[in-house]
Amino acid sequence: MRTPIAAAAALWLSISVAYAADPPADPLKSVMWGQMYERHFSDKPVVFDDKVSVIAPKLAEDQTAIPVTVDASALTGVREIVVIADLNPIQKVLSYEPVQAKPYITFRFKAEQGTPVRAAALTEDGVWHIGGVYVDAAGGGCTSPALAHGKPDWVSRLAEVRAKVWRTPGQSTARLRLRVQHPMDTGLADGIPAFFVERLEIQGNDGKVLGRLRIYEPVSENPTLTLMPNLGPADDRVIVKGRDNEGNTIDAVVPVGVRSSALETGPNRATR
Amino acid sequence: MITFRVIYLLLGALVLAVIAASTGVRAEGVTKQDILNDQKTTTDVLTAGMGPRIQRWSPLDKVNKENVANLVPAWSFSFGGEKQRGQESQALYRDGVIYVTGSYSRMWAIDARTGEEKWQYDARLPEGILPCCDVVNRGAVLFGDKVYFGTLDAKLVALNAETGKVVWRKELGDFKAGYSYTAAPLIVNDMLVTGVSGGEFGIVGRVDARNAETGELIWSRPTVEGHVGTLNGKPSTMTGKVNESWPGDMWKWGGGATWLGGSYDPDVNLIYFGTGNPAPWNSFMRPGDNKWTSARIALNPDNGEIVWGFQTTPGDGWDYDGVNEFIPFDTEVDGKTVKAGATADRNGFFYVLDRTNGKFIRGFPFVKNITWAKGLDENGRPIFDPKFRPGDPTKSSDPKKGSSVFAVPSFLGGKNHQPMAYSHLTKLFYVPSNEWGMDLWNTPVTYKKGAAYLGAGFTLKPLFDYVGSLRAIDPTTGETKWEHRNKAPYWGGVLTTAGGLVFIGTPEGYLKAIDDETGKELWKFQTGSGIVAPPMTWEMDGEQYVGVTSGWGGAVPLWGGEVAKLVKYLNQGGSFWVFKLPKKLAAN
Repeated sequence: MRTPIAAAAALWLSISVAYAADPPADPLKSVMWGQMYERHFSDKPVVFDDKVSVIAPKLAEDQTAIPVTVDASALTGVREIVVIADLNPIQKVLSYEPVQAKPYITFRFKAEQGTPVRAAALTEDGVWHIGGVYVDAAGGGCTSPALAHGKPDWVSRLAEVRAKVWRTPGQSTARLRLRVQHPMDTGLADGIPAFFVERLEIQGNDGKVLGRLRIYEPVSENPTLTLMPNLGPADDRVIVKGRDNEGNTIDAVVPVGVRSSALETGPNRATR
Repeated sequence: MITFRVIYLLLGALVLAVIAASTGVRAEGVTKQDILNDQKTTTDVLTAGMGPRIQRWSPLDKVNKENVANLVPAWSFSFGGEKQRGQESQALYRDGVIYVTGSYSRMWAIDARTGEEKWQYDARLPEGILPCCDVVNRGAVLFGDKVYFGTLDAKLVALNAETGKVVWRKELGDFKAGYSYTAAPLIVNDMLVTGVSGGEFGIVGRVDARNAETGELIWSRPTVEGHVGTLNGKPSTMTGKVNESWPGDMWKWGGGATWLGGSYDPDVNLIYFGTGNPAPWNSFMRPGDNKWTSARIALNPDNGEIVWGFQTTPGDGWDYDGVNEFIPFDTEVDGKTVKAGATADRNGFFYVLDRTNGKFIRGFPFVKNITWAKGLDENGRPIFDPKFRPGDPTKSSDPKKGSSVFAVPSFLGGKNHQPMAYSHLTKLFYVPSNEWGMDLWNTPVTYKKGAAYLGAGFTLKPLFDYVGSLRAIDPTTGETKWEHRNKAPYWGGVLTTAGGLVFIGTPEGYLKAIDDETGKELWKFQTGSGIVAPPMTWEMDGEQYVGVTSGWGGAVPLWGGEVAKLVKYLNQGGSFWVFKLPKKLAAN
């Protein structure tokens, strides 16, 4: 009985492997592209696509906080955006499902060395559209301890959310900026275990999901994100929920303001 | 094309099923019944204490007096990193996996056949945690699909036993006020029952019961009179009455920490916890019995009400915590079987109580030269010797320091956290006791959040040329059948088995097997660092294994005074050792 099952299993495996095509040539010529393709994208067709715009500095000023904007709104039907930094010890930075939101996200991440930063947008026809740039950086962004480490009071503000959401008059897309107080330890700094926000969910008034995020260790300390959720006329607040890998919960309610510029008001602290 | 796909899917499902069957993926998690049967079932160890009655008794006899001399290591697992210090954890075993906790609130799941790591969990501890007596942890508990343990910053953590990922995390107390957690949690029915640590910082002891699945608090019972408990999110009843046995508002920071975990007896459906010393140490600041500190309390699992309490050291003035484990066992009194329980107190006396109502059956000293009390009266209350209570600083010529006394035992106790074991074979308790005394004096003190709240000074001193004394005690007579001495204090706890063996580790690094009838040493092995944890044993693939955590530390090197000097050469470590008999002894 065992032999035929094993043989069938081998056949099944060999056939599924045979489906996987060779990866398309990488415009950034990364030595890790082959592995990145195998690990994250080989289950579906892949195209390199300028419609996925990745904006990041050519040379990072601070390797522990490199600002990146991903905008895939030139595509229609984006289900998920996955961000990868090929040459990081932990490559996956985040994944984002813009359920009721523009396929757009801004964040900061840590680089261990100069690395390609790629955003892959999965469209509803089951194709990965990949855009990316190369960011040069000084070394050590992932292996140096968070600034919170050694500050005895970091824990008293842990998981606190500061956020602001505002509509642009005449548009359904609002702009949400949020910051979660968290050390985001990668586990690679000596003697400090991995400790990072792993899930965030953005909800509207009635709890309907606007966007869903999986966050990984390379996202910078105190994750600072910009998202563009679609708000209905009745949505007067946005709910932020999440947790870290230690089970600490993140819970905030952000009132929606109508402003043309964030500069017109002072910082708006979300209520927990 | 479609048919092919269906075939692939079917084959895929079949392959997965075969993989699942061959790797023994569990169909269901640990049940209530599994917990109650933990002592009987030799193929798992789900609880610290090896059963809810925490008797540390195993019916396994494959390793026995005849063959224990052949015991050899199967593997050793290093906890790694720079975080060593005291390793006081008893490991658990289920389905081919060892679960063991370590210093600095860490846990590992290890393949029990190969010693390879399956996963590691490291709590990210905040700066400023306040553990009084080293950064130890004493173990976890398995229930459902989860493994639970508590952390030094007073959090209770539920991990998925398969992956080590955090399912939930709940706060047991404010670590900045001195709360921490080091004991192994207890499972009672479907509840997770815990105490708190932090008695040296003026916290108030509590026993909490939570829904084990969600972590939601069901009831909470403060140990100090005047404080009100909770039940289903609402205030329930007050423990005792305000000022019944406490003066003024001293009860507000009264101590009574439940830092050593508890036991459960399904026959009478009661949870037993010990409570720590009253705070501060200076007893002249709180004249009275100070209930329920330095006591054993029995709680109703349904509502957290105290059913009975028994104070071993009422109005304690020596830091004689009453936390030591209460072990349910049945004994004969005047020819009748009585549901009893036994406990060997820090204060040097061994007590046998009726576990249904807390009535005193008998008590006797289990260490030598006790000074603070002349004995126990017919109700088990100590007959204090006022000459050996440290003096009142307000009556002293030096108002900053009261007169000093030499009290025996020392505040680290005739027995401390290291658990004793009860043998079903010999009907004896094996008590890891220590012979030491202390100079002790009182000082004035006021409560300040997060600061040590002692009001005392002290120095520990040995009494003889040894400190440790493993005693085989007959609970029906108080007789010590035999004694096995050790130079350094015993700090590691005992396991006894149907093989007629008593296993105990020493700070010098040896794990020893001792004859349960004679006290004769039959086997020992050097583990490379001091043992301050209780051994455990299980059966796997038809063979008996013995496991113990090794890693010197705990309260002795920190608080041991003159005794600490005896052990200061001992090196730290952090590893888990597993022993078994060779399958076939090599032919000559």
